[in-house]
Amino acid sequence: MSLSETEYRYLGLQEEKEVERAKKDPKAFKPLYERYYGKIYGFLFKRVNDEQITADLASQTFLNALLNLKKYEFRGLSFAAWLYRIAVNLSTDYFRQTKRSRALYLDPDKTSDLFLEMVDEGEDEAEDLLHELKLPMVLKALSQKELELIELRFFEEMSFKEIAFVVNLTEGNARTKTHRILRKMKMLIESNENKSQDIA
Amino acid sequence: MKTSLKILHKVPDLEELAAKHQNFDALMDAHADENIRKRKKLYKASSFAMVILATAFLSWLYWGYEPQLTEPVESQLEMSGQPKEQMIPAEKKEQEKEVSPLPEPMAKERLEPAEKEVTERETVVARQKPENKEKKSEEEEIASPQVTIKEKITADAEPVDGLESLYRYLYKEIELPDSLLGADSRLFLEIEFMIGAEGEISEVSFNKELPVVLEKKLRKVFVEMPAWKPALEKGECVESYMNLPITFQKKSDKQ
Repeated sequence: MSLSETEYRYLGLQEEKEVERAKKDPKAFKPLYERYYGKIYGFLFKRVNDEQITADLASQTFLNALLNLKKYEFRGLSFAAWLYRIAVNLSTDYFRQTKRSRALYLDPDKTSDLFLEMVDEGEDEAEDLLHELKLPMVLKALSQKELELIELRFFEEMSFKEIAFVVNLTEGNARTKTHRILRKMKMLIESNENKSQDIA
Repeated sequence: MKTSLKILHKVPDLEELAAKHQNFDALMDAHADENIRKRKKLYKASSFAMVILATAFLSWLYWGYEPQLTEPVESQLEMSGQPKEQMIPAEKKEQEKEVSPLPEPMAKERLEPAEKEVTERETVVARQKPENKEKKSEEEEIASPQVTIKEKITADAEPVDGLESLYRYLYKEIELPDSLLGADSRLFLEIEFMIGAEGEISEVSFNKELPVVLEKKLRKVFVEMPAWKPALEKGECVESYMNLPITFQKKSDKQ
């Protein structure tokens, strides 16, 4: 989702006009809907892992966006950030009410990025592989908020500015927290490795 | 705190699924339905608010509004036995000045000629008040914390047909048994009654305990007496009370 500054500026101006038009006429919301529906649906499915529930949540996300469009103000972020914020809140409420387990799709391409953030330079390939295998276990050890930051940063590829807007933090805070989580994950992997070695 | 997490290593074709469920028309319908629902909710809320406001307003009108009441003050009556000052109904019990003394026998001389046709007993009726009321200026009225009813009432209640007619009526209607008269062959009674805003008479009461039958008779006489013009306060008809001291006296045998 990360875009260059120029792309942001262009897309922002275009979207700003589209949003202004949609505020006056709901039917003008269609371009925004068609542009981001797939993205929001995909994001929600990877959390919910159910086709129909994902469709319901996605529809509700766009309905809420449309109903509250008058409150939207362009802040230099794409309209998608606002949709993501609504989708995150809706899915969180859904998990809280139904007490269902949330899911996380470990996209192989995205997982390697996460893994690279965690490993130190100089570690050999065998250890890298070990770390990668232990990743699911480490992710399960994270809290809901921590997992959300990791998910948005590495699996949805959002900028810290966008993450901050979605989870209602400052950009600096989002950055700091993400790095702390990565350190924590690394420590968890290493401590687990030490325990395995001791047993062995 | 650990998250209950299910790790997915594979997902279906999300783009295909998204395309399957993407429906802008359904979104428009849902949006319209939601707007209708909000409007209905707003209408219900505003109706409820209007009901609350109306109830509060009516309650304020009924319970909170207090009409201005004047303090009743009883002016001094003359020795000749003039009727006591008219008082405001709600405040009639608060009498600041003394009750006038009994009417003097000499008041008889002032009776109208028609009343000279007496039977066994004479009735001395309270006289009309002298017309030398002190009218305070407005400034005095404001300065003085106790404004008299006299000053507030611009015109006293009076019988429609005049006092003469009233005397004749009372003379004709009231008969007292001798047993009620005192050693001096007299009976002093104070009769208090209310003159309504339309001149109707009610709430007749006596300062003495009388035999039930007589009290009933006297009450009837007063209620049915000729109509009164109600008192006027700033141009408006108001209720007022009249206190009528009456001395019943056995007629001398001279006449």
